[in-house]
Amino acid sequence: MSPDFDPIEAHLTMYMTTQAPHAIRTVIALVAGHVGLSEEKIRVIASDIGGGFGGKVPVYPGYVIAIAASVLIGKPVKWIEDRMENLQADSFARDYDMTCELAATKDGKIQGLRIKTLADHGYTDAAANPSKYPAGMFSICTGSYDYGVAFTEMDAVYTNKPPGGVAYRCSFRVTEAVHAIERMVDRLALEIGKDSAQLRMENFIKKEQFPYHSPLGWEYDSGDYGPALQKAMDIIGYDELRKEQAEKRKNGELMGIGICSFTEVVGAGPSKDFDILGIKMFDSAEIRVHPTGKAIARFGTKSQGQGHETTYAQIIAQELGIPDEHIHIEEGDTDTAPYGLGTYASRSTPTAGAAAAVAARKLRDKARKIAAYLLEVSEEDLEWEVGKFFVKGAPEKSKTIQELVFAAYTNHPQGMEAGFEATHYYDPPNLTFPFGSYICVVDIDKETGSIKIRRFVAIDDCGTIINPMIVQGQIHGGLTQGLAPAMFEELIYDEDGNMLNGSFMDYLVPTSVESPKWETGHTITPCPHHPIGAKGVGESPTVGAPPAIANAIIDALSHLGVTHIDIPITPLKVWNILVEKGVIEAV
Amino acid sequence: MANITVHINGVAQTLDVEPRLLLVHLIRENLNLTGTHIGCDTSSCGACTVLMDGRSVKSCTVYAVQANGKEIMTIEGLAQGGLHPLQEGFKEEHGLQCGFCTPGMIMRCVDLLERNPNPTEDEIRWGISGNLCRCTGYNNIVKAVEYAAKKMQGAEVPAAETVA
Repeated sequence: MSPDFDPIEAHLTMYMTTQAPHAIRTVIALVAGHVGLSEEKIRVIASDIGGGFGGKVPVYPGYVIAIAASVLIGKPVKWIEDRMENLQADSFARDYDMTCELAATKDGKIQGLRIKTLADHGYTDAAANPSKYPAGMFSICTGSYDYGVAFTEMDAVYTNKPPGGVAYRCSFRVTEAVHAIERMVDRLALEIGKDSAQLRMENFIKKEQFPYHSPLGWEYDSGDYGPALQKAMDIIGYDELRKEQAEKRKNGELMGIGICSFTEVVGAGPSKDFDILGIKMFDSAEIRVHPTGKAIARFGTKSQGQGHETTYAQIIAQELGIPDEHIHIEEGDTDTAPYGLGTYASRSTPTAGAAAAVAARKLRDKARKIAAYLLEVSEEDLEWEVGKFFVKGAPEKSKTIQELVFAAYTNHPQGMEAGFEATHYYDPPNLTFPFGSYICVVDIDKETGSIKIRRFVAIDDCGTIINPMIVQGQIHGGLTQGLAPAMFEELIYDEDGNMLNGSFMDYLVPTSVESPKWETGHTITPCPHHPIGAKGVGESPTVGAPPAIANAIIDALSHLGVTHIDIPITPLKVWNILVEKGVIEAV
Repeated sequence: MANITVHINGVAQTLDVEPRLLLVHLIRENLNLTGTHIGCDTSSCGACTVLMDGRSVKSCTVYAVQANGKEIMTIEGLAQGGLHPLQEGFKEEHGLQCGFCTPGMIMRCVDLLERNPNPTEDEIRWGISGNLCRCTGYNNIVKAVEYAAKKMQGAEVPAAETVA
């Protein structure tokens, strides 16, 4: 990041890689306003910032030092963090030690859940958490299943590690919660000798139970879990795989099938419950259509490659009938964009995307008034079809959106405000609850413990899909980020607190070789409270992949008496288990 | 200081550089070509990949003086009268999201397709395994390279399939 303080104007311009430019500006003003860094004199500019995944939300000490240096010397200062510093001193995520108990009848009807968690948050808490939820959305841990009782408690501890608790591509600790319940359901299936897919099917919350009130207090907006799991089973050929597995076991070969049927909670959030540092978690859109029918739209969010420029333009195009190539999307400049809390926690489409639709509808209402004036009919006599208003029963009498916009600047009705511009700050009535079912098949080499993901099928339901290619791209990437903690990535410390793998030489980010060819599909269960029915998708795959992979690996070893392995599940861990169980001999 | 001449994107540049200067710093800081990125300090990520005499190198592992007299091509030099087929492939097949790895990934793939004009999926995956991507999960990068391979062999390449 690069703060540039102009001592003459007492103005601070900061070019920085932040996912939440407005929030950063406000935090600086709240902390340093009294020494002259007043909010109107601060401009945060975040352009192409690279992937964020949660790590670019917090305020880091380096920011503060760089700002102070720039103010003191009156010159631009640049603070660069290299990769080793990033791994060793940047904030980290996960590191939850969870003890879970699941109560069920002997035939597998789940009755209750209890989870106790010890959470490592490093030397200071780096989480930008909703104030009311110190453990974030962890209480989604009851999962996709219908039962009445649950209890969860968490102790967060300070350690001498870097700041902890960042929600890495995860809506405030949903990843940990889903891992707990999805591992427990597999554990139950193993305990009672029931197929884990069947057990899930029997316990799913049913379609007609939505909106569903979970035992820990969420209102799930909509869902239809059975068809998503069934679709994944059909695509992967689940029954045949189970037969193949039984055959392989007879020959001493190790093959496993793992399922995860997750429920996500994203789109933070409704102002009655959600704020960060007191600032409510609405988000915003401002659409300005120029006289010739071309538009600029600005947002309080900040894309890091999620394709907001495409998705937002499509929403506006669909609502207003202006071609998306005529809509310029802009984010990341606090001097020009309307206020919003930024992009993370899969919140952009549920909040700012909704704001875009509502703002566009305000403009459509204005266009209707202008059309009535120009066509000399009452507003009720007009019908909308994407791109134009026409007179009911006389479709030849019509005005295109471009004609109506031009009229808003050149020939608007007397008494009407001129121009064609609308802003909306969208405060969602509820969170959104995307879901999905993933199935993973692994083959394990007995001699080396190496794990090969043979297939991975991901069926996601994120409600209405705005751009299928972008949604699929989000899922591919999220799955690889879910593969990472399941099998590779871990920050390892020695007894004295020294990090042992502080570079990409030995912190193993999956390459194209470790990543399988992801197979994706979807079901569509629209969100009932979002203007266009969308729920958000970016984080579902990161949440859903780790338990599917862990369940598959553990399933491959379950006949040996293995019931659980902590992630990341490395070849060495598997090899040690195979030695311990007498399958192979250590040489 | 050492006096070197580097042919960068077809233009000869003569500069005085410290012998310890890395090629990536020469490219980014002396020549202001910031399309070449630095993603790690350990030659692991491939974001700094450029072509040196037509072969892909991680420019963080090459001294500027080693480039003396050589042809260097960065992402800025790739498009000649329209996008290179690889750039087009990454665009059509959604082969990038945040874009940080993309310049290095594309320069690596130029070399890959030069050596193997018609690679299998497995050969593409091994071929790009020195370049990390955190956003795409690699599926669409593989498709982008396949797109470019077809295009470079003169085949008509249909627009990206509609995603079901």
